[in-house]
Amino acid sequence: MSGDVVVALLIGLAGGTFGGLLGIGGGTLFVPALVLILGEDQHVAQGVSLVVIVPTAMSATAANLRRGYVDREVAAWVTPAAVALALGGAFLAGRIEGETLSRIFGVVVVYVGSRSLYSSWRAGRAERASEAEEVAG
Amino acid sequence: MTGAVGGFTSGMTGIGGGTVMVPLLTGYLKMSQHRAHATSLVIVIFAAIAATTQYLRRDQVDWSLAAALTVGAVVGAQIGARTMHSLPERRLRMVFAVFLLVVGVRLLVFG
Repeated sequence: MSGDVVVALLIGLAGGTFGGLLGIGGGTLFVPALVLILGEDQHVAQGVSLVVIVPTAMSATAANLRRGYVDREVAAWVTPAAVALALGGAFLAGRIEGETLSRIFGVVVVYVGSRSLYSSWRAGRAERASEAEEVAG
Repeated sequence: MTGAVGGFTSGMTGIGGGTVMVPLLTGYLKMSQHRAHATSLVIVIFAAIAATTQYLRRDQVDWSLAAALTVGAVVGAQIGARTMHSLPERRLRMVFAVFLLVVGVRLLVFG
């Protein structure tokens, strides 16, 4: 039991760090870690993950507010839609097998990830090219 | 749209929804990477509260486990947020893109 507590603390620390860095809360790491390392049931892992995300996101938000990174206007109008659909999604998660949906979601995520990696690589190349030009000129 | 897609994914899979929220904020609303991460987290707080109510109703929450995770996660979130502040825009964008690829491949392979 005490070993599990230490493992949970470490999973929390890792998930919180990634969540704060990536702007995602940490559930992407919490859920698989709870299932694979602690052997929790998938649904319980999701429930626990969501509970933990709340204080995690609050903690990171406190730091982000001090730096003025939060766009309050956008947050104010996106939140109601997100809340409504989060309720719907959580309701459905209790009823259906999510594996197919996960795979579809996987395709979308791989696509968005490759696209943004490519665009940041291209931006970096353009930046280096213009720096080289300045040096040459 | 942004909130709807992010929120649905959040409740459905037990993640905060930021995985889709951040690319929608930077792509669709042309937000800077840092602002998108910070704004996504605010939305995530409320989406996670909403989704949690459904899991509570079904009694799918282990409170002692949640408490232990929270202690580590709150500290981790400070480390993560500070790391984000110190990273330049393009580097942060690249880190997020790599993260998306890892998550996407994991979803594809393991469902």
